[in-house]
Amino acid sequence: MKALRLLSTLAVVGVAAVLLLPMRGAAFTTNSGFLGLGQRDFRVFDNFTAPTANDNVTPDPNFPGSTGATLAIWKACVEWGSRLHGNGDGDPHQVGGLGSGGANFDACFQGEATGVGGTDDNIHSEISGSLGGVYAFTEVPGTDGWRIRYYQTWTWSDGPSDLLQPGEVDLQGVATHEYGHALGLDHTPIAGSTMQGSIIGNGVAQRSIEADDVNGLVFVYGTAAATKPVITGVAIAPSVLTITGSNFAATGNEVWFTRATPSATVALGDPIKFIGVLSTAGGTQITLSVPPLAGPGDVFVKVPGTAGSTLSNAWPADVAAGAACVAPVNVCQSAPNSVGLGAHMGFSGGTYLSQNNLTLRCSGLRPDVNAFFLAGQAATLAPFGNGFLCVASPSFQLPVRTVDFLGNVAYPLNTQALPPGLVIQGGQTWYFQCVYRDVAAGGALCNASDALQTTWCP
Amino acid sequence: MPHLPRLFLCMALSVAVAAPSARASIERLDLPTMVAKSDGAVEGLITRRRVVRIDDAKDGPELYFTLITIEGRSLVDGTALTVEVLHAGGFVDARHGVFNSEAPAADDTRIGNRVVAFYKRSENVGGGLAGNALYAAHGGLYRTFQAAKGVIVQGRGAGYAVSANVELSVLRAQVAQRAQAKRTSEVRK
Amino acid sequence: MRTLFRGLILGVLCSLLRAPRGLDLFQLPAASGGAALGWRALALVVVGFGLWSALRRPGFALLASTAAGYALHGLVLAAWIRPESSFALAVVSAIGLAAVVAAALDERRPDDEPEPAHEGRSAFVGEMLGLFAAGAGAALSIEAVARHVRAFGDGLAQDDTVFGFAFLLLAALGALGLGWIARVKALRNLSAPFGLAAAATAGFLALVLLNALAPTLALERYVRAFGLGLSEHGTFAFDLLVGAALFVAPALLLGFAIAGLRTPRQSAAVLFGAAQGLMLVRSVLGAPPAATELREAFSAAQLVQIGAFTAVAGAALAVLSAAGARKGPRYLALCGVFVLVLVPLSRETLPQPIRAPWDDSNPLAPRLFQISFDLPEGLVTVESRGPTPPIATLNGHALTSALEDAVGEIARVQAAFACVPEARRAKGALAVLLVGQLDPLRATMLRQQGAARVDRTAAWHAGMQRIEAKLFDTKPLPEGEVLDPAEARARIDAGKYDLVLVLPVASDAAAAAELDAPASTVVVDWRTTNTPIAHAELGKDVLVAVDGLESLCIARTLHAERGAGPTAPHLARAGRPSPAPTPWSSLARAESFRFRERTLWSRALILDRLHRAAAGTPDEPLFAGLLELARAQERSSPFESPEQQYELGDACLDALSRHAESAPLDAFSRGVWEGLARILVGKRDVERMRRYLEPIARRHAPWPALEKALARADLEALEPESAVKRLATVEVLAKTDFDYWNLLGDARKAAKDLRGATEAWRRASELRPGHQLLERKLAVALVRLGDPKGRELVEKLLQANPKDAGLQPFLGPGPWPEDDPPAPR
Repeated sequence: MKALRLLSTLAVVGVAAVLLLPMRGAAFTTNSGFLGLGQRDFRVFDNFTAPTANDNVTPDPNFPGSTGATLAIWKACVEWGSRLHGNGDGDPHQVGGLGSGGANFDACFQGEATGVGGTDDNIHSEISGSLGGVYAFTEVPGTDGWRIRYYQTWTWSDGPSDLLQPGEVDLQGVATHEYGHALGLDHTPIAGSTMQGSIIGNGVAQRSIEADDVNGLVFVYGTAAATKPVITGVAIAPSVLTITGSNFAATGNEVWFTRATPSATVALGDPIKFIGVLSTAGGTQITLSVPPLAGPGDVFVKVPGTAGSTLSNAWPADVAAGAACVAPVNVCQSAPNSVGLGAHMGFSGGTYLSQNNLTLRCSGLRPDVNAFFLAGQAATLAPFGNGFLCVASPSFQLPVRTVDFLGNVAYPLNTQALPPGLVIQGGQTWYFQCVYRDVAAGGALCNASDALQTTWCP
Repeated sequence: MPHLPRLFLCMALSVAVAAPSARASIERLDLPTMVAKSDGAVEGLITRRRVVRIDDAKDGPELYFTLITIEGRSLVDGTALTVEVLHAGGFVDARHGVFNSEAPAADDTRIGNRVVAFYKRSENVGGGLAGNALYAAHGGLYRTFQAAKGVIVQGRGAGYAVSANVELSVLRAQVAQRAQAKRTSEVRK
Repeated sequence: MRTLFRGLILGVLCSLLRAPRGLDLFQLPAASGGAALGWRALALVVVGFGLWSALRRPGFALLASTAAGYALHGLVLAAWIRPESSFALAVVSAIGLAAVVAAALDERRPDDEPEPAHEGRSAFVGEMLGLFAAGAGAALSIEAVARHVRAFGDGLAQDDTVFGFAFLLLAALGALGLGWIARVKALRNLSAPFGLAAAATAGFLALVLLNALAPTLALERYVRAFGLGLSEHGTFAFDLLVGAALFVAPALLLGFAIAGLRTPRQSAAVLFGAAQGLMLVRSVLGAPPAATELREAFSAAQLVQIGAFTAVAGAALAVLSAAGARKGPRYLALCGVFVLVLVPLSRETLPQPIRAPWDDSNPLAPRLFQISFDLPEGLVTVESRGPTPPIATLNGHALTSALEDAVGEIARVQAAFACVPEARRAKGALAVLLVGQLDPLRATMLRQQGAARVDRTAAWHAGMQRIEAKLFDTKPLPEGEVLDPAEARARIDAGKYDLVLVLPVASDAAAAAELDAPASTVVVDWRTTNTPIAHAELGKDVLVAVDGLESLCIARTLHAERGAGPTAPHLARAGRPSPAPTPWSSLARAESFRFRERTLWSRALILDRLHRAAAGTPDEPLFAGLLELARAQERSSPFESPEQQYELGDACLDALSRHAESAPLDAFSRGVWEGLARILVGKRDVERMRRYLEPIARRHAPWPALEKALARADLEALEPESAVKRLATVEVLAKTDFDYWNLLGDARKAAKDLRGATEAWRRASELRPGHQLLERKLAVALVRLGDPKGRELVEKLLQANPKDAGLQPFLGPGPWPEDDPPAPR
């Protein structure tokens, strides 16, 4: 009977866990006809066999980390973006003009896929053989997603020159057209438009979307909202990224990166996301560490909300995967106090300056006494009160708090509003220790906890 | 069933009669080029339609192709001809299949339709499947109808082998002439 | 067995006592919050009496069978047993009460230990009051969560059923898995109040989870983890999963609490308190909103806070008053309750406007809230969905028409006014009561039809002025005022209106409220066919209206005049109600059965009914044809044009042709034929245009829309002279028709009459100045004719678009290209 009871309780807990655990983060989804906010990803499986499809090995600063067919297709997709991609360069056919959509739509490059994928995996790839007069096609299954295939029989050229050899077909131009279908655009009879039914010449002319194409895009996704976040520049120091622009939210921004290595699961096209990011300078600047797994590609800023207008334009960023910011660790030692074995430092949040969400905590204290946290950049171990001092001079005293009835105290550390003289910067190590009154213990009437060693990341 | 906003209807109305309802990335053609590049042309009745699915290690899973049987006469020499042509896309059942941007509209490939089709043999249309591909996919298939002047072939607009509506008899003559010229130049080679 | 039976009855009862739309005339567009909450509160009262009469304590068996009964009725029996009036609901309540009490008769008293006595009368009263308050608080909190959860469904009763089922099932699970803890002797009479307070406080966790699942990305990721996709919303599995995820915490704790109830009086006190809690929702949200920004106005999410405080206070009282509890556990429970109170004290509750990421408009058009606020009826918004005028919604259902339905709306309003006796209409200055939401389009249409005064009312009347202020902005409102339903009823009875017009809201089928008005007042109650209505009581005749082949709506009428002639309203026999489809039949589909699919299925059901009712009448082939059309539709490629996506079989056209050839056509049937013509033109189906449109056009000549379609068929058939001749027959009627003159120009040009073509294009250009494609054709033609105006126009066009290479040669003296240039970049 007891076992049955325990089993039933475990079952209930298990049900709750099963229901609640998958609630973490989000991933791209795909849909047919209209691409939702979760459907902006695209990848390339570079199985193109023609040498001319991958003979452009010159890196382009606006498209870091990619060359050849992948680069050409990347350019094709960003042409539908809301604003110029970087400075708009990269296509000699439309100098300074890559990125002409003007709508609440921006494609999110997620690097190279490891396979052709299914019909809803949002992957461009080559298909063998020939279908007589067909260069490429877009497939959409009944429910969501798309797949774009390019026939092997054609001599695909990855450009970037717009002067192709006789017989070559421009991969970028054809990809621009096909991706337009994936966005939900139908054909137009207007000659010269990218979405016209048949290819014009060798396809180079289709690289640049025209007024009719833009009208279609805007009809589907709406004109780019005035409140849409905009990235106008990116500065990269090793592992630290500074994004400038406008319309960033004060808090709760997400910064999306291209994944550095192909996703292990072909079906997914997740970007790497850094969430809960603050902006500064009135919503015009974001500084953060490059997260692990992020690689060269595009960055985006997404502000809170679900509409297409909450995602910024794409901006090239040649980032290298950053190291994970080391979690705080306890160092030094504490001494017994009037209530137990001694006070112990803890924390919640993290040590990313861009998130500014670290809360210092201390437990095992005598209830209802005053306490404060010390901060300093050097550690020590010296007798202090009834315990030990772990933070060396020079140190800073943070405001006094009162210990609660459970013997805990907390202090949310606002790195943007620290006491005068206290400045925490990325890359620095800081130590924090709690000093508290303990009259009941007698002796020196005060004591100190162990210390928390923190390493800060931008 | 339609699922696009009705505004598309209004947009469609503003388009001229012979406007193409084409779908993407096919060769821009005219009739001489089509005849030169294709293996054959048939005018006849669609009697059968089936869809196959191929899962290929190299070309990937879920490759769907629709195969259409046309019984009629060759436009090249007028002989009786039954040919199965194919295009990419289609559904094997309600849940499994894809819509393909190149495929002819369902209206065009209904059993019982009379059509003109240009096709070219391919040993591999993807996934190792061999067959007579509609040349330029939807650009290789044209519906016909009976009118006072005879059978009319409906053109699809500029950039298609049959750009404007034309009498079948005229088209037949043009195709036959081009085919003859093609045979002659091949013999000379 | 008895417990299971009792639970089944309770579950069925709870499902039955959900007030449908249409309990009265004014609740046709939406059920009033007061009515909906009131009947559900009554259900809880009946359940309370049921538990009071039972000897056995509630537990897993009762809860599980209640869940089963709820689902059984909500998903299956609702097709046959649906109270559709207040009287029916009252009868159901009485029968339900009798049934649950009867189920307690001869019940064997369980061999439980007798309950300890209270320390005094006041302790007893204190415990009962405490449990009452705790129940009220828990109900408030859970109701607040439920209002948000339902936004994840399609807003239909079947989705609410699944969410409710998930909640009850989890409560049963909570009773099963955690009930033994609640029944521990030391926690006797303490676990129930504590559990209720915990359940109420767990509403905050539910709000956090709601916030996590609200974004499309997060929701998709979550359901994908269980092998589902977003496209499967509206299916049983999807609704069950989302409901379970959001209700899991409050429901499990509620189960724990229920398992801790030890006496029938305790159970009754909790249920009566819960009923009171629901009525409190009405009071709290019923005051007219002081602000219209959701963040400023009181929102439903904040009910969780009120509920938690109330439950905690009640729980504390009950714990202090509990009989037989030892000091230690009592104070432990009290501490636990006080810990719980820290949650509502410390958390800021922000509004949670859940907007389903899908609807039947463009899902990607940016949705901008202009205003949003909570009423007892639900969440009201005025929002823009892309580059179209804003619409008002209630719980996600559109209260006003989207732009693409404007023509359908016009047809409905016109048809309604056509029901007013002609003599009365001729006098003008009609007084109209609109039961529904007024917007600028409706105001314009009503005015054009002769309405001089438009009063408005509906369940959400408390928020109507705010909504109108946003929708109308600077545009003037028509003469008239917003009324509460009681005042509106008084005015109807006093004969103050010529027309009472109920415009449709796409949602569950409304009940057939009695249309009661004096003989001088025409009442028209429009229903959409987007959801099944074939089973509804529709009276003897129904009015039908359609926009081409879309937006089919039917209306019940009262005192409608049957007219004659092309503008007469089309009144069809309503026939007998068809068997209702079970909600399970649409929930159980593997793929989502929403919007378009559900619309066509529902439309086929009602058309089948109208077809059977029309047997032997001239309308029979009309409805046979429309039924064929609805049944023929299949999923189509997104790469096809809208016309190509329509499946239009010969059977449909044959039937409609039989109708058109045998009967005079009114506005409705003309609308159908014009829709068919558009489809056939889009399909370029010349043979069928000739076969079907030609005889109809000839019989009902002159008919410009059909003649234009046939002219296009002539052009396809390389017979431009025929096209010109045909178009000439309707020139008088098409004087201001841009499309006519444009087409005539094309036809004349094809017939080698360039001069005639330019004349026609000039007329078109006067009707729509600045139409670039038209001006281009005109410019080229004028140049070819040697008209100097041609060159002027070419220069003007090139100035506007210098990249138009095709036009360049026409600047010169010639020779010009033989073919006209294709349209420019």
